[in-house]
Amino acid sequence: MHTATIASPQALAPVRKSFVRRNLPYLLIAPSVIMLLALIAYPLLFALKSSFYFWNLQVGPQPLAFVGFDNYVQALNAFDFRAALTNTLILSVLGTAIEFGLGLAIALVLLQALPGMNVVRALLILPTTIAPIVVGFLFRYLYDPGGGLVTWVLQSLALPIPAEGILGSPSTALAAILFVDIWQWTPFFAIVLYASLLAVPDEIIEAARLDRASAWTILMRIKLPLIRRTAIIIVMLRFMQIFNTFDTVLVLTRGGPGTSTRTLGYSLYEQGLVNFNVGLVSAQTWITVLIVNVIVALYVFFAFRNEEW
Amino acid sequence: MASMTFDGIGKTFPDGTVAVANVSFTVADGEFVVLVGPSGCGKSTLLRMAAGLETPNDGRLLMDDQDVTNTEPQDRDIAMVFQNYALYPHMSVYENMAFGLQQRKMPKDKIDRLVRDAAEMLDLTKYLSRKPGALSGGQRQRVAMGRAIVRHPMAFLMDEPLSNLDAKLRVQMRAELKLLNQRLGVTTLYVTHDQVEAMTMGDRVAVLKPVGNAGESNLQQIDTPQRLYDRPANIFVAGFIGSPAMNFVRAELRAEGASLRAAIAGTGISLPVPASAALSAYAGRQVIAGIRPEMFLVCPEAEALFNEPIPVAEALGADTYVFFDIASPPVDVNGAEEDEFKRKGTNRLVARIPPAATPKPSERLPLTVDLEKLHWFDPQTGAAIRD
Repeated sequence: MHTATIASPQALAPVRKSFVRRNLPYLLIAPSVIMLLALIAYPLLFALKSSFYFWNLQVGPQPLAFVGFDNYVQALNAFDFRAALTNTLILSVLGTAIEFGLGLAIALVLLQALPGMNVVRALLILPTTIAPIVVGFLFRYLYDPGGGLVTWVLQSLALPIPAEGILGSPSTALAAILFVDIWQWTPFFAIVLYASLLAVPDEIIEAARLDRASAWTILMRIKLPLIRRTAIIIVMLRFMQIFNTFDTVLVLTRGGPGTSTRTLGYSLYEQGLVNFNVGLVSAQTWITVLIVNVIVALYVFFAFRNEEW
Repeated sequence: MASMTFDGIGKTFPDGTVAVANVSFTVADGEFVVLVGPSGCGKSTLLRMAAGLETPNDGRLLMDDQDVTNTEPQDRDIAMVFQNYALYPHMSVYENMAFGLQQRKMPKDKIDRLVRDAAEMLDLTKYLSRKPGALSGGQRQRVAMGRAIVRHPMAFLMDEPLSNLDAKLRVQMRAELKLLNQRLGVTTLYVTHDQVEAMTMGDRVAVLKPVGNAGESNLQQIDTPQRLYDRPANIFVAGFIGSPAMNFVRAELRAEGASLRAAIAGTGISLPVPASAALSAYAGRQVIAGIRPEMFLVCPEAEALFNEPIPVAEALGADTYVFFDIASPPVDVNGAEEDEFKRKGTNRLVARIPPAATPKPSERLPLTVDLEKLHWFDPQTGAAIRD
């Protein structure tokens, strides 16, 4: 009998071709989706599960018991949770704000085509290219109480320096960590804002000058609104990055003195990789994820609320 | 309202390019002056200097006899319309128009009245709350105008404001702009490369030319459109004003008794020249004759001065343009030294004739010229030879 069977190659070929063509977008995006699931979704879900168990590698290799929300209660009541959250918020908010302000100022100076600006632009990117851990070591020397450059400059300016050293005193240690982040990341803001300001058409600025707008008005009412989207995005990125600050703290202060420079990121490290308390650190991870996502969601909601053009 | 005087203005850019040199003219109070010329002629630079966006190296700029050469743009009471409109994309049409007034600390209710009046005049009332991105090209152009007129400035500066519009809209806006200027009576300096815009809109038109060095002047002639057409000061203006462009032919003036004849170089054609004291001085010398396409007249073969085959005819409906070649060296309007190759070449002329006289392809067409209306130029200086 002359029926077209599925095994017939003539019949199969067009079917296979149209399957690829129909699903081409999904096939192309599949590798990214698989990577995302493997590297982000899986660990997060794994942590979610672990957070409900008592599981400490110092006690045994396997989770010992289901404990419900005990890990969460313990994390929120931990001696350092409040300090870590406060420090993290101080670093994130102040760091992002100061870096944005300074970066914008530098970007505006870069826009003035002064001689030597090419060199400045090239040098400016340098701090951002150094690994944070290296920057941390660098500043350990700079902050050294016995002759570090920063200490020496402050002394020369007759500014009071704590006897324990800049990193040794609870009153200055957090500011010192903040300063390192500002030093390293202000150039990033400067370069990105500079690039986006370059994209503002000269004609619009000229029109504003002819409209009698002052330089300040042009900045606040023309330039900043026009680079708003870029600004929103880099502020968000930096905020999330600083929120997870860990390496500079590890190298410079190990969260001390006391809990004065402890951040959420450092607490996670300590619980997970020093105390090996997997259950507790999983709960802490989820608390951090929730906090940072609530903040970012609120920020994005308000920042993009009036976007329409 | 104000007059605006350019007094020996010159601008050389840091890289050594001379953009503008020795430009002097005055725009009278309420006058509409158009700056026209090919690209690189310095027209936009002049306008930007009037706005204060560029500072001249030489000369002075006066507004109402007050020296504003080095005054910042924000301290000059002028409004500018940019080629790309330069609307604030993040502000509504209303805010775009109100922005300049807010900078003057004007009370809110007064701003509101002025913006609504201007919007009414430009038929923008419906669009006041829209952003520029949601408007058509013509509407954006009107917003840019609105932003200028709402301030009631001493002068308008317009930098090719119609060049981004499609052809039909451009013709319409041309008329609207002219009417608006007559209604408001504001001194206006208008830059364009389009001679039709220049001729139709300007009370006077300044024809500019690129300069090679700081010793020359960009300004070739400033006059009413009709006088530019009738009495161009030199070969550049003659070639720039008029469409299609004026034909130029080299000729030698020969005295024949009391009268003069112009023998067109490379051909046996000899034109009788009307008596003129200025031309008589050129007897025996080379000149350049300028013939506007509309000066050609179709005639019987016996009276023909030109009788060439017509390879191309463009029928425009009301007129027909016919092109023909004569074996005469072409003329470079920009006064550049021609090379040997060009000297030997042919010269393609164009004539405007009534459509009924259109010849068949490659047929000969006998043409004569309205000799009274010929233009004559000195081949060395390019200046018009005229009594």
